[in-house]
Amino acid sequence: MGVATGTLVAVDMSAASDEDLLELVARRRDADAFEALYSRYSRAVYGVVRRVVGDRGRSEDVVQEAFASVWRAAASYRRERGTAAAWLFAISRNAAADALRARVPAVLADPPDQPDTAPGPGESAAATLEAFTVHAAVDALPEREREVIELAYFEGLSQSEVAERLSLPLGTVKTRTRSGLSRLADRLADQRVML
Amino acid sequence: MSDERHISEIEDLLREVGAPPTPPEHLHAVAREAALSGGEVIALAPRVRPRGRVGRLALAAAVLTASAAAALVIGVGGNAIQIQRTIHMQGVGSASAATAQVDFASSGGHPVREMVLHVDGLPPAPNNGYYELWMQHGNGDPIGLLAFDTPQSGHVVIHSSMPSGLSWTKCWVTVERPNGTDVPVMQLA
Repeated sequence: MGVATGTLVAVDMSAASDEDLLELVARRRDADAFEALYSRYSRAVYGVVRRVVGDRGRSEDVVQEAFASVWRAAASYRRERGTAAAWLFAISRNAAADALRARVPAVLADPPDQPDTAPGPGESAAATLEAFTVHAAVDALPEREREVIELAYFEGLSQSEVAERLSLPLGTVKTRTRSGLSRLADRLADQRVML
Repeated sequence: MSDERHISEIEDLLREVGAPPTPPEHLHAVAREAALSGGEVIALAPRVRPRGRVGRLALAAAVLTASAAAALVIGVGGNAIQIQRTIHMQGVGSASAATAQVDFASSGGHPVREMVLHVDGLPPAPNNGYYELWMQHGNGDPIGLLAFDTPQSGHVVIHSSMPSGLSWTKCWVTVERPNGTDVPVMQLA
């Protein structure tokens, strides 16, 4: 989508790509585009920040800072360097890392006696990116597909239970689930999460 | 890769990452305000005014607690309230010439305490907007205490009140716009 300058152009935010929205924020300081990005990415960004920062209250501050950075730095985004999702992930991760650095005590603890079996920094970062991308992809689904996907895979309901919960025919739930999964597969392939 | 296998991998991936935490509802409005009003925060660094002869009490600049029970109660001539604590604020950015002082009265055992805001050098809020004084305790929800505007002189004195039990660690003033979001941004505790 080209962004016209000097004319009034009505933009359907729901149909605009993430990259288009970022360009609208950068070039026109478009608050509606910013709102659309927030709607699409707030859960994914919050998820990344909670994973890194942990504390809920502190995480809220970091999410504020991350979206303030999106508004301030949107002009620095370049399509040729990667997807908008990857750029937003980097913004979120950096904001969280800054928050962590700010609270690291200037006292070094003694090394532990036992090796740490927790995932290393590389594995943890990969898992965080994967979760961010999947959550953003789920939030980008049409509402009717997103709700069945979330109930089935995030809440662990069977398809019959999803049908009962939503008062829908079982066949409809199966159709929406299949459609949602296919859409997720396409999007995650684009994001290179799935090979 | 077959479609079935691909779908199966997506299902595994969804179960593996699990549900994202849900951001609190108020965060949307707060994040929007933080982003779109960038650069219009008037002050963010309250400091305690040295109390004359007891000015040796050099308190940490960015940390204030209203619950400082040991604070001296100072009478001020010409002012009906008994000031228990005062903070000074300094403008930043385009309002760097502005200053403000907030005097908090002793509660006297009542559920609310009086407060007086003195502002100097702050131009009227732009674009038919207004200013708002906020306070926040730790990572709790910010609380909007007072909405105000200034005349052309940039000087205004406003008397108001606040819950006696309210404590805070940060305070600041923002520019608010009348056509902002309908979603309540903040609420009194």
